[in-house]
Amino acid sequence: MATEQQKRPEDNIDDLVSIYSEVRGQEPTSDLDASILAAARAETAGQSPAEPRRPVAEAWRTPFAAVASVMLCTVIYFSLPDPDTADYLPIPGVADPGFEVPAAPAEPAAVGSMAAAPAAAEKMAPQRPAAASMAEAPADRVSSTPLVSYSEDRAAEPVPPQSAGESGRYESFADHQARGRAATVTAESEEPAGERSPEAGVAAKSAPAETMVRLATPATSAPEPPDTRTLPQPFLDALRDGLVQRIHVAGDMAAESDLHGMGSEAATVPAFTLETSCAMPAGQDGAPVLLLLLGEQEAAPVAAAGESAGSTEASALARSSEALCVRVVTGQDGLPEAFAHAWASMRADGTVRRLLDQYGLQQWSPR
Amino acid sequence: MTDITGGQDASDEDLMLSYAQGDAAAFEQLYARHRRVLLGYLVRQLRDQAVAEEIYQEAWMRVIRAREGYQVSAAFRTWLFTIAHNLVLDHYRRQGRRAELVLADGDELPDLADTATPPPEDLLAGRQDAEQLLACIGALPFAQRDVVLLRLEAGLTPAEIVAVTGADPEAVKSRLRYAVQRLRKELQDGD
Repeated sequence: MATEQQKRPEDNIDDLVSIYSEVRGQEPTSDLDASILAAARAETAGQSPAEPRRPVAEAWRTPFAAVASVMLCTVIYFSLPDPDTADYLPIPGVADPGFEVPAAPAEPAAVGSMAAAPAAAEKMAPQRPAAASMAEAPADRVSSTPLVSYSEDRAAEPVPPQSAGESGRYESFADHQARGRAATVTAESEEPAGERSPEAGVAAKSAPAETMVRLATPATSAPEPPDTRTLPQPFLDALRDGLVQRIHVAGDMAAESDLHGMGSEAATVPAFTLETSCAMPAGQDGAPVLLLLLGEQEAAPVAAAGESAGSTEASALARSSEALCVRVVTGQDGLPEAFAHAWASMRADGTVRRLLDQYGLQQWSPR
Repeated sequence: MTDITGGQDASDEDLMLSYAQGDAAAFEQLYARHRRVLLGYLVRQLRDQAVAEEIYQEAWMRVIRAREGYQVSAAFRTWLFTIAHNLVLDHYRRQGRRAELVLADGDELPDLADTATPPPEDLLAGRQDAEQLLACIGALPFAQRDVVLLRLEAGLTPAEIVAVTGADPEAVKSRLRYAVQRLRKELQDGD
């Protein structure tokens, strides 16, 4: 009987089925039932199914929440500069913006009224009068019309030049602390940078360091990703997700991936070919020890699997290629001693760490 | 519109086809047939009630949305559990979570004997083995737990499990074999 069960246990699990029947199934809550059935009815009624209730964490993934988060971050971000010290806002990435730095206005611009914008804009860019408001600007000049905006307590956003030689828009923050209010004037001058008075750049440069507020940093290069050229991405993803359980090596030495139900992605994993004539045991089905071995040579990732009985060859392969045991699948009663030695040796000389770093993998250890 | 549900005797596929034609009552009947086992599978696979309910709902929503294009290419039950199974995998990927098979350096494989089980005296006699079995299943590796739950909870045949998981038939059999051997051993050791 025991022998029969070992041969075809999947066909003879009545005992487990019987035991499990005591706890089989789980009753959904009435709310859950109601929401699903309501959605089903709505669908047949021609309505869009009701949005299922979502946990809080899921709700944050909605587009609205994303937009709100961005806006919140923006507000926080631009509230960082201290209005008491942030007089000038240089253009990020431009060493010498060459803009005219206005002196502190003798008469502060009116706050909260767009009607006062032209006066302030004229102070900022006397070469061309500013439109009183965006609405009054000619339609074809909206994008290049001097922009004037006010805010009570924050510095406005600097806009980098749109092209070389274009001055872009600059901002000046007048210190109105003494007057109990603050104004931010944003103005854009279309005067070419080369025509600017030299004093402008000097003035900008001479601004005290503590008053210069950098709102953005030049883009930095992203860190180099691990070299994954030798492994297909779905496979790596599966590794990192812990979903890879087996690498099945068929008799023809072509490895067939089995990512246990990853569907079409699994089919995209190309076969790994063993470089050696490692004689894997026939009939890999149910192999208790399954290892993924990554060859040190980039062009030769090696997948190997073996049962205990056939692990000597796999171990030799591991040693010869300085391969790395990345994954050990449960079910075995312990790895063969040869594997343990190979593993210990590779750990001792740093091979394990180096390959783990190279492939961005987490380390597992055989027992 | 012809009602082909035929009451309780209608097949799942007929009910789904009927629902595709606009018969909401057919869906209710279909839903009633599979609600408990589907949620049971998800709860025991994910071991997180909230996540399981979320995926449970999403699985049914996908069924609902797919009603117009539904064709009987496979058993409805297989289709339903395929959806649920894929959502489980998606969940693990989203979480970036390594399955419980991941072993830190020096760690050992989970020992089923260490699995916490309710004290026997607190359990009804008839449920003690079942609770112990559940605990043992919960300690199985993902893939083995998956096939065992699809077999015991969902009542799928090995061929249906192959269809649901997309795994190789031999792999499914081997997982089931090792899982069952392990469960039997643990149950015997627990006696």
